[in-house]
Amino acid sequence: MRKVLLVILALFLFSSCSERKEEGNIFHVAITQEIPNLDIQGSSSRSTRDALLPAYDTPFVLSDDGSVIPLLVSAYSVEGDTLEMKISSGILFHDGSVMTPRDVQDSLNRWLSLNKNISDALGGARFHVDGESIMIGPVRGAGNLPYLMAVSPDPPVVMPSKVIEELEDEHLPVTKVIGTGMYELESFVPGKSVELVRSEHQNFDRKPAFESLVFESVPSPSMRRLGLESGRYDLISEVLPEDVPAFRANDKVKLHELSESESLVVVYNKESGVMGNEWMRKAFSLSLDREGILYSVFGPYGTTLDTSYMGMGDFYNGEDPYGRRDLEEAEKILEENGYSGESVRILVPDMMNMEDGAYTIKRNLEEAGINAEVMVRDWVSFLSLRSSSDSYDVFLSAYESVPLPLLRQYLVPGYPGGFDDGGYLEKLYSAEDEESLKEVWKDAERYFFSTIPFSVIGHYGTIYASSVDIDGLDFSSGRIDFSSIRRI
Amino acid sequence: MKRKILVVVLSFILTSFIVFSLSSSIEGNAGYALLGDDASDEALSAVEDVLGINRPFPIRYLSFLYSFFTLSWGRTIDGELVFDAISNSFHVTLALSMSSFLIALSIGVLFSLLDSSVKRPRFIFTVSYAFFSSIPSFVLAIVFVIAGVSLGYKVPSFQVDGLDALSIPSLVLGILLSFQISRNISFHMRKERSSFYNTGMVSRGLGDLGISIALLKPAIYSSLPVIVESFATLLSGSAVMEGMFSLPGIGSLVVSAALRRDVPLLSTILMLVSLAISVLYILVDVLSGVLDRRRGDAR
Repeated sequence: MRKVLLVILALFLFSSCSERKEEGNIFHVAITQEIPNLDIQGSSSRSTRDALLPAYDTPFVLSDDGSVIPLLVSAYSVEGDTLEMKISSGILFHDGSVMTPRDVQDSLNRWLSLNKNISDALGGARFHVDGESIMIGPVRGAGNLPYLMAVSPDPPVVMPSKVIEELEDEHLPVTKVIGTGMYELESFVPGKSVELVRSEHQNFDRKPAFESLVFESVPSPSMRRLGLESGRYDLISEVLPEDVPAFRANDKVKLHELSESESLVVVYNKESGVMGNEWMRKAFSLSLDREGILYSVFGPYGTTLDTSYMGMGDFYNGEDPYGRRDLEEAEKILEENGYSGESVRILVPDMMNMEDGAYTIKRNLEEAGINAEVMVRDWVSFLSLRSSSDSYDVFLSAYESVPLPLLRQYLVPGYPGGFDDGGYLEKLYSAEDEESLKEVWKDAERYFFSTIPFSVIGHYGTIYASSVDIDGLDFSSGRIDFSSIRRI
Repeated sequence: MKRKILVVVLSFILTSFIVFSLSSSIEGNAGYALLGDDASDEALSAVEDVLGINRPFPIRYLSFLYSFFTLSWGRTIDGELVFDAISNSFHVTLALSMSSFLIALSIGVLFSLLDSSVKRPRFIFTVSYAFFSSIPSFVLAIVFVIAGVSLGYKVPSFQVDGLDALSIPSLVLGILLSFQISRNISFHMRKERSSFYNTGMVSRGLGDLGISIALLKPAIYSSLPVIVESFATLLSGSAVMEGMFSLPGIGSLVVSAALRRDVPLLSTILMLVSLAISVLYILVDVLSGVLDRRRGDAR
């Protein structure tokens, strides 16, 4: 017995001999969602982008005043419908190799393959190498492409061609992170954490203050909150509404309410079932108490009651005739069209309190005389079910802020639920400049308001919270800029 | 003997079939877990081809069975070797289980000594057993974390603290388990107290505590099956603590594999856990047999 106990004790002591890290040089971020993979080009996950963008650079970035600045490109020109970009020289990847035009070509072409909306907008064209330059053309709206590359939610990051060539298929996620960014990948524990360390090869004379960045998936809201308050985490993402008052009262914590407008949207299944009828969609939309739905999901903080597709930005139109609550009108539409009590199946993912929003919608519908049921699923089931048109009638989802209509995820041909674009997508793709794009969008949005393929519930801004010891946090571009942060 | 071996093999194949069927029948496509919500049809199709998830069920099952028994467990949906994914997580779960077990054993033995020595008031022990049997682990954990933070400690993080981050989860699991162990040891000590052996000790002038110490060793022997079983519970039941404290152990890996529909990883872990628990239960049976024989000899 004693021998057994001694062996157990020895094993325990041996396993406990682990390394502690010096915390002063670590910027520690607690994120809500798991980081699904290492592929920033094809992932729309905010957590993936936050954690991996410091390892990469893109050909273009946005300046503080919103203009496009070349980064990995030393010069660019648009002649007619062709874009030419001269690649910056002497840019080093983390492995010490020099970035070549072919690396940029392969990276950008993979980015197009993974982003159908942008690829469609370019009519399927691809980049090609021409000496020290990269060219694409002839394409519609070639002049808009640098802006698209600077603002795309799935960033067109550049990696060595060999990383892409090693993939069995270009659509599969990359398994290596080799970029030109300030930090390089140290470790990735799927579903748990990503650790980046300052790269030996710094481009553009950048001098990041922190030696490493640790992104840890902490699903428990209480642990995120206690972690920030105790000084363990320097930054936590997606603060819950119920935690906002406590953080506001805590002088050791700083709240960052992002001004971007993310959207809560109901997408109707137009391909089959009861929501295939336009009159049913109108009655549905008129039944919604949008303020109540927003409150049930986000609480009293950071929401905007607005039904326009593009939020409150330059593309605001806001004349949605079915974006108000009118139960009498809804009941009238149902009666005139002989609604016979079919139940509307509302599919919703079990994240971000969205199930509470779905139950509020159910109550709203029942008040208008529409039967409804809620189907709460985990993320993977949700995505699988919504791709099958006989599995749901509407789904509720959140969409991140985008500066251009053609980057809207649900305005892509083949998006779940299907929709008739009335020929407007083609016109949007062909718009030559911002003004003509705005004009086309005004008509397109009016068309969508009348046919109701989607109903925007409202918009919200993500809230981050950081320790007051951290200075230089900048969210103005919608992304965290890690080059300027330091501990004070 | 041949028949016994046949039963073991058949039951293992049946277990593998149930495990693989259940893992495969979870609603949702692994392609979405890997590619996210804007996965194109081409990307999904490519992933399905590479992962082999569009092959017929019998072929996938036979392939899994072959891989499992030949120890070539294939790759996770992320492309990592299943063997590496499991071995990278196993040491965390093992360290958590062992530290919890040592804490449970230490507290359990001390508490049972007190329980069997103190005649009144008994209700303190009864209430303690009832309280610690009913309190959920995550509630006790959050109480510990809040207390730690108010004393100036930071929330543990495996990324920074390494295995030191196991302190609070080990304490929580250890405390909760200690009352189960203690109740069992106390039960056996009280049983032995009324025996002829105890009467002899009283006549030798030993006090309550002295008798309890003398009765501890036989009571621990009698409780060994329960103690070993409790270790098995720890091995398979630490997922809640691992999830709450973001510990990269086997429990977290199982949850993550299920959420990501990673059938090869999930099925392999479940088979291994089932195998490990079967071995522990066989050990319990053997121990019980040995102890029964020793008791018989003593009488």
